[in-house]
Amino acid sequence: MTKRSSETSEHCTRLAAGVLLGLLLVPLLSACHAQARRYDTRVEILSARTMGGQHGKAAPSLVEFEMRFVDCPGDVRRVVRGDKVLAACAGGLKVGEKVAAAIDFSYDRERENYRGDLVKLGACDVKLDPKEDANYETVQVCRDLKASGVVVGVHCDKKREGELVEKCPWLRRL
Amino acid sequence: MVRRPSARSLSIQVAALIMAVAVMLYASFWRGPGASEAYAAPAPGAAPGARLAPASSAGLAVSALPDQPPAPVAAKPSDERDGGASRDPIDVAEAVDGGVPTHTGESAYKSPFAVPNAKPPVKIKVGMLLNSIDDYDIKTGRYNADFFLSLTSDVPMPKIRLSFPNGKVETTEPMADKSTFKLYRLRGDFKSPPNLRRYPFDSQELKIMVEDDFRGIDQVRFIVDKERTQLARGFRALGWQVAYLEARSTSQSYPDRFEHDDLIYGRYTFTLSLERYATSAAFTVFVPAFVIVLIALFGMWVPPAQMDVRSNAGAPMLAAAVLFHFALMQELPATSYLTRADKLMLGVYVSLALGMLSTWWMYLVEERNQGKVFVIARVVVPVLNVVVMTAACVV
Repeated sequence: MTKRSSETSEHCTRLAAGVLLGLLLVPLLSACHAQARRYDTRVEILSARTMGGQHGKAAPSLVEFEMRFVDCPGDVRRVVRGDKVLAACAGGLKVGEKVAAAIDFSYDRERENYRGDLVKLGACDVKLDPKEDANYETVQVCRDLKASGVVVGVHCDKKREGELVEKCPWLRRL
Repeated sequence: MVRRPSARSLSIQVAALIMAVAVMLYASFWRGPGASEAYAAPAPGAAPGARLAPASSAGLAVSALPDQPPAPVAAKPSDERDGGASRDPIDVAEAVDGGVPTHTGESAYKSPFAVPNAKPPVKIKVGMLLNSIDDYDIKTGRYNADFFLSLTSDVPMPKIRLSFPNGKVETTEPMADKSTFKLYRLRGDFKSPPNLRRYPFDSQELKIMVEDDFRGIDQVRFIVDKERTQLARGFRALGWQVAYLEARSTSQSYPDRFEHDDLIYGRYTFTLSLERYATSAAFTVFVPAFVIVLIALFGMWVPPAQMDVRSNAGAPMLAAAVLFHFALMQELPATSYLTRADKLMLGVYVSLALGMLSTWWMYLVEERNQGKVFVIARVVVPVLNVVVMTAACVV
């Protein structure tokens, strides 16, 4: 084998090793996740209900809010149910009121996706029970659906991408 | 000293080539018995656009082809708005010269099923809450849907007999049945033709179509209730992510079934778009294909002195590619086009064939030139493989 072909062989071997190393790095890089951080935003209270409390004679034991994130594009809503501590603190929030909220955004290794937990509502600290089935979130960006220039229905995007996660990064899940 | 290949090695090469050609032909042209589209053929004897009688007294209609749903069944309605006392539209139509009775006055429609000089149609807002989609079969495009359907109007609506052109439901008994509000909890089997051109990065539209079985737009008009077009909380479709949902109200005429069949019918269509998870698709289809090509490429580094080893490097990978492609095809229905996965696998076969060709080239040249072929092949084949696989992924 000539000297030139030997050099070429060495070069190609290095190249192949580099490609293989790169392929091995892909899963390692994909294991990196954005750091946990807190986001401040605003929500509009759409409904507020207290439960328990025996006809107003005792403090309510539960409170449930439906809220809309006013700074996010589209229609981003969340229903949260809190315990008596939250009921006592946030029970005075009125429907239509816009209050500050804080979201803790982090990666959930168990579920292998991101999550955004509401941790502050107005002046109240929020600690939601992760096992509470009543808590949920709906995200959609809707527009009129037209055919031949006439509105014939509605189209709602459900994917969390683009402007939605740019303005409200805590909505990202993958 | 350079060794010539053994007879066994050559026979393996020839067998591998035959398999590759067979698989390419198989992947390109054979896609199931007699089906040219990604959809189940209609049942024998079912003519396109054929009218179907109601499946039961509940007024169910089942289509043979979703893209060509049957025209509404023109049964005799009993109009609740006038207490059912008036005659049916067809009874007041006249057949002057015999044949099909028609409305001859200033009625907008001549069809005997249109109401002559009808009052303005009742506008019915249709709301849909989809609870779940189960048992989605990409091969047939069938799925089971569970949903709430609400009908709301400002004025009393005539008797509504729901029909589902692309499926059938178990029952249409309403949960609420008032003259201006009706609520149904429905569960049934539906079908929508899958589009697999982008498989495994495909997205599918699952539709639920709703019509009134016999009333045209001269009597009822469906309007989408935008605020009440939703998915249930916690909605999941296993293995898929929801891309969008859509609801539209359309009106359309059907091919003439008889003379003066000019009545236009309204339809409400709910569409759920599902996308396959890209990461899952990449790991289940693309990664194995690229691993096969990469491992086969290692054969390019086997020198001419070990020709037998080199010539046998491609055969196991070809067998792996064939089995992998076959497994992929088992998941899909017959299509008249190549899916993205098919194109990728064609790229794999071409890549493997390039490796084999380089080895055969060594057989054909003089022994003193085998070193040159070795060097050329080691550069050219990987480059061509990159080009081929890139093309297979992009085209």
